[in-house]
Amino acid sequence: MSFTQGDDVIEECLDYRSEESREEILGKIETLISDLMAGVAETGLAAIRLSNRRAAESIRFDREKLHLTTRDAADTKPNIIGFPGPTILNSWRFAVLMRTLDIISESLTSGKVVTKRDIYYRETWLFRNQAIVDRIVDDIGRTLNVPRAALGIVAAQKGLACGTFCMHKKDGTLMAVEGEIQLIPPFEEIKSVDVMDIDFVLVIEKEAIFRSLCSSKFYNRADIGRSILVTGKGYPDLSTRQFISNIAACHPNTPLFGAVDSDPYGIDILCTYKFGSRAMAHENSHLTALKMEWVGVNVLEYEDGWTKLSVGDRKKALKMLSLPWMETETAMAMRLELQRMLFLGKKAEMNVVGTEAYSVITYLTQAIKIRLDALITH
Amino acid sequence: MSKQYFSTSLTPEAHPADIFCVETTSEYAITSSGNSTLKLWNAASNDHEQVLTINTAHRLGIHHVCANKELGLIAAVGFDGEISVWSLQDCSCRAVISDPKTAYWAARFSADGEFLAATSLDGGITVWNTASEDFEKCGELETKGSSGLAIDYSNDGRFIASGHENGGLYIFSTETARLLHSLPGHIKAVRAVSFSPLSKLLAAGGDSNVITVYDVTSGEQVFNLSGHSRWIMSLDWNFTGEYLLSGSFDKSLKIWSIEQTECVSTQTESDSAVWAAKWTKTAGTARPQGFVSVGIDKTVRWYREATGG
Repeated sequence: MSFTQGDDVIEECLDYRSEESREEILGKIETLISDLMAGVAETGLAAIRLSNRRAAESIRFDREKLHLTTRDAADTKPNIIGFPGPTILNSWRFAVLMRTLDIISESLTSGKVVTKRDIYYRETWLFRNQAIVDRIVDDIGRTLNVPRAALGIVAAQKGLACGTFCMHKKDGTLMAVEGEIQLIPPFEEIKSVDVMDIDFVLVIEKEAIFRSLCSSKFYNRADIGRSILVTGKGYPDLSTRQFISNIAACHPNTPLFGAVDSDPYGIDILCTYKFGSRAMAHENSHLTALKMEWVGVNVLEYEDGWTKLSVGDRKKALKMLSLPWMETETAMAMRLELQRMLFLGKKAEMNVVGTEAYSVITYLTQAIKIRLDALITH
Repeated sequence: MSKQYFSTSLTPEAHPADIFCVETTSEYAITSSGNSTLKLWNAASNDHEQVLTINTAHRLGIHHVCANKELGLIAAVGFDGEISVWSLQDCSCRAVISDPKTAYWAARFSADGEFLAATSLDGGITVWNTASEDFEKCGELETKGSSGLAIDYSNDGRFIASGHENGGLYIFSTETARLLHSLPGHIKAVRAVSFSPLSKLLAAGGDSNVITVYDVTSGEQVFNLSGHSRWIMSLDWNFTGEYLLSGSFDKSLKIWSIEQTECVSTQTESDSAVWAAKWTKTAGTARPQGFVSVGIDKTVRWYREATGG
C-alpha cells in the first residue's frame, strides 16, 4: 500500500466500514426479528441473543498486530435478553433493545444519521441514562458484526484539533483549519484529511494544556516545526481515535506523540490510542495508532508537584500492569512508569511539571525536539 | 576526613527494568526488578558474574528482596502484594504468602533466621515462623501508621522497626510484641529504616531528605544527617557500625561517618535515581568492606574503598 495524498489511497485508508450495504444490515436486523417471532410462535417466549461485548472471554490481545480484538462469536457466551422475563429489569432490557433496533432500522431506511445522544433523547424515560444507550448500541454492533457507523450512528463530537490542515467532507465542503481550535467532526462525514507538510502530530490528554499550547502557537514553531495538536479531553471518543488512527495510517512517516499525566489514567488514555479499548474490541484494528510515542510526562522529571497515589490509583495501576500489552516491547516505557509510580506511591499531573520558570511548554518542546533530532540522525 | 570509594565493576542491563532492591549475603548479591526474575551475583569474585537465576511468578515485578544465609532462604515481595520464599540451595519455592485484604511491602528475616516479618499497605506488620512447614503466622502488630514502607530487625533480635508513608516510625519489642517507641521527626514518608549492628541506634530516612538517628533504648533523636537533595530510598550500616550508607532519589550514594556525624563520601556514578544500596558481607577483614548499588539505570554497581596511594 503506497502512501501518497491521492484521493484513491486516502479513500482506502478511510474505508474501514464493513463491506455490507445498508440493505444487508437491515436484512440482518430483520432476521433477528423474524427469529424472535418464530421463537414466540414456538415457545411463547421472545428472546434475542446479544454478543457480550465487554466480557473478558470475548476479547483477546492480538500479539501480531498488537491490538485488542474479539474472539470469534462462536467461542463466547452470549447474553440472552428475553421477554417475558423473571423480573421487571428483564422486561425493561428487552424494551430498550427493541426500541433501539427500531430507531436504528429507521435511520438506516431513511438514510439519516443519528448520534447516541439523539437516540437517548428520543426516549429518555425508557433509556434512563446515556450509558445504557451507549452500551446497547455497541452490543448490537457486535452482535451483527458491523461497525457502529454502519448502523447509521455517529458519535457526538468531543475531540479538538488545532494547527494548519484541511478536511474534505463527504458533503463536498472543505473545512480549512488555520490556527484555530476546531471540533473534530464525526469521522463518517470526512472524506479525507490533508495535513500538508507537518513535522509531527501531538495528542494531549488535558483540554486546558491543549488550549494553552494553542494560544502560544505551539503548532507553528521555528525550533520544532509545524504540527497538529489534538486533544480527546481525557479518554478519547471514537471520532478522535479514528481521526488519529487515520492520520497515522495515511502519513506513516509523520511522528505521532502523546503527552499525558503521569498517573495510571493518563497511561491508560495513551494505551487507548495505541492499543485500543475493550469496549470497541470489534473495531480496534481501525482505531489504533500503534506508533504513538509516549513523550511524557515522566514521574522522574518533576521537581515537585507530586501527589500521593490513592488506593484507587494503585488498583488501576496494578490492573494495567496485568494487561497483555504491558509485556510487549512497545509498552515497556509505560510499564516502567507504572512500576515507579507504585514504588514511590506518587503520581503527577502535567500542569505541575517543573518549577515555575520551566513550564509545560518548555518540557514538551524539549521532549519533542530530542525525538525529532533522533529521527534525523537515523 | 573523607573516604574514597571507587566503582570496581558494573553490570549494565542486568535486568530489563528498574532494579528496585538489592540484598547481600557473604556469597551473593541478590537483585530484584520490574520483571519477575531474581538474580544472584557472585559477591566474592572480581567480576561479580551472575551465578543463579530464580524465575518467580511475580509477573508484575518484585520490589523487595531479603535473605537469610543461615536458613538459605530468600523472600521476594512482588507488586502483586504477595511474598514468595525460595531455597538458596535448589532455587525451589518454599512458600507463597498472601493476604487478600492487603498487600505486603517490605520484608526482613530476623538475624537468627527464626522469623520473617513484613509490612503491609494497611499499616500493619506480620511475623511468620520460618521453622514451621508452611510458614505459620505467629504475630501481627498494629500501628497507627499508614502504608508500611520499611522494616528492619535488630541484630540482637529484640526489636523490629517500621517506617510508614505518613511519617510514622515505630520500634516494637519482639519479646512482648508491644510498641516501645513512636518516634517523631518525620511528617513525610519514611522509606528506609536500619538498626546499627550492636542494636543501639536506629537510622531512618525518607521524603524529608534528612536521615534521623535515634537511641533505641530511650527513643531520643541523637543526631541528623543532611546532605541529600532528594528522597532517601535506602539505608544500611556497615558491619563495624562506623559508617552508614544511603541511596537517594537524587542519584547519589552517600557514606556517613557516625563518629563525625557527617558525610565523608558521595558517589555520583549513576545518572538516575538509586533505589537501593547495601554493604557487601564478604567474609574476611583483609578486604575492606565495599558496597553495591542498584537503581533506575538497570545497572548493578560494585564499589570498594580506595586504600593507600
